[in-house]
Amino acid sequence: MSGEYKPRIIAFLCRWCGYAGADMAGTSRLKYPPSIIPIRVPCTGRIDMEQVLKALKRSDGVLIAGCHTPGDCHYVRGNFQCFKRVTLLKKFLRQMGINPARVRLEWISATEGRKFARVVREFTKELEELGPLRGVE
Amino acid sequence: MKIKLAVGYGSICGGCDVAFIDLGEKLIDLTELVDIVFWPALVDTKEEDLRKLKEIDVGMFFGAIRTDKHKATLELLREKARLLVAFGTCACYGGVLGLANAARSMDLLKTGYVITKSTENPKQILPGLEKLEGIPISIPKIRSLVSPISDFVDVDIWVPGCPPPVDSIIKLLDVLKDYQRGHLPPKGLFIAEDRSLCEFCDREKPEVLQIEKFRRVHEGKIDEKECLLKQGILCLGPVTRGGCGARCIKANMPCRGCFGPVPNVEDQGTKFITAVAAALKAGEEREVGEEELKKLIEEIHDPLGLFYMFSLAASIINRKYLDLGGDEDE
Repeated sequence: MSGEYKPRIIAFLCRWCGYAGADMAGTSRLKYPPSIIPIRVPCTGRIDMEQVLKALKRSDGVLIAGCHTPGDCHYVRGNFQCFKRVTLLKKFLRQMGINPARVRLEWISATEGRKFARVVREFTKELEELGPLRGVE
Repeated sequence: MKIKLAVGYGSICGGCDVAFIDLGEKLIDLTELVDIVFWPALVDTKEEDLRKLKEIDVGMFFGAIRTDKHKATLELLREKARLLVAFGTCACYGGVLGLANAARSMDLLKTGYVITKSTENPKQILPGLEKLEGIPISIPKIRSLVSPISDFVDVDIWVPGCPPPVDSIIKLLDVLKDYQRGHLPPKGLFIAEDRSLCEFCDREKPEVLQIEKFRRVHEGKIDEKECLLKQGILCLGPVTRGGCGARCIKANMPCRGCFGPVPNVEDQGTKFITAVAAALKAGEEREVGEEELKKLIEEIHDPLGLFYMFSLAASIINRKYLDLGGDEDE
């Protein structure tokens, strides 16, 4: 890949875990690439897959971070709702020739600042290798 | 004064023409109401004749935009007509043809004209790309994408349906009668309901939808009174406009979404993914666990074909992407 390409990630972070995890990464002064644009949502179960597709069209990858399954979700089963939706959405993306790895679902708790930084590092590297998303013109 | 009507064709199957024949006696109303200046299936005028006219009242367009010729016809119709009607699902949303956007046009041409075993094409000529020797006319060039007509022009009246039911056509005739009396319809009028098909479906619906397991229509017996989704049959009712008279549901078949997305929904298929995935084992996820849920979702083999059968061309992801290599065909 050319040196100029810098992947852009839109991240939907749940208010209780993913976002707090990102906060933890910040307060712990952990380093990760400035590739993500965080969006705070009340719960990963609130995310409509339509929003994920819209985000994907304007970025190179979408990260969704929520509370660990089975029992951590503040709203009991929002994380599972998201898990089911993303699993089905990925099948559709593959059919359209999009690498399903561009949508990444991770469970990151409020204390896992390290995991958050690691996920962003890994995901950025993965997207650098994949290159920009190109469709038929 | 009779209304001057012209009908332009995009990529069509002929079903929209036949839908008019279904009118029966009401066809007489149509002939009294309109003067057909151009309609390839019915009258002998050519596009040249339409070009010579200064203005017509109503232009109707059937089919999706697949070739450059379709686009030119559409633009001519828009230029001449005071009211443009998108008639049928293909004109409104790209229709079944839109599924072609899941592949590249060049690959489709090669499959159709070179690769298939029954084809004999030693020079490997692809229509529309090369001039044919000794033949003066040329074949229109295929476009890289199938598009609904609203990608190129303003649409005044939308008549979705594959094909639009008789009731929709009668309503359209009423709108045209009003137009004859000098009343213009509101801009962007939909000859369909503004609520989802579920609102018009007579089946017993559960308070909370919970799907145990997905199944296909041929797997087991389908209860005629109970909600199809409750039985695990993938029915697009919740995300599809009503107004079709629930034709398929009454025949004990699931809705496939030909009336397009409900208002304020941009992407019919993804909205359905969001809705149906949420209902799978709803309330029992913790006990079932991620692995098992994944297995149950794997039972849906073709989300593209099932959820985007009529609306892919008008969706957010409306084209083939090249992430997984050019010829990947899954």
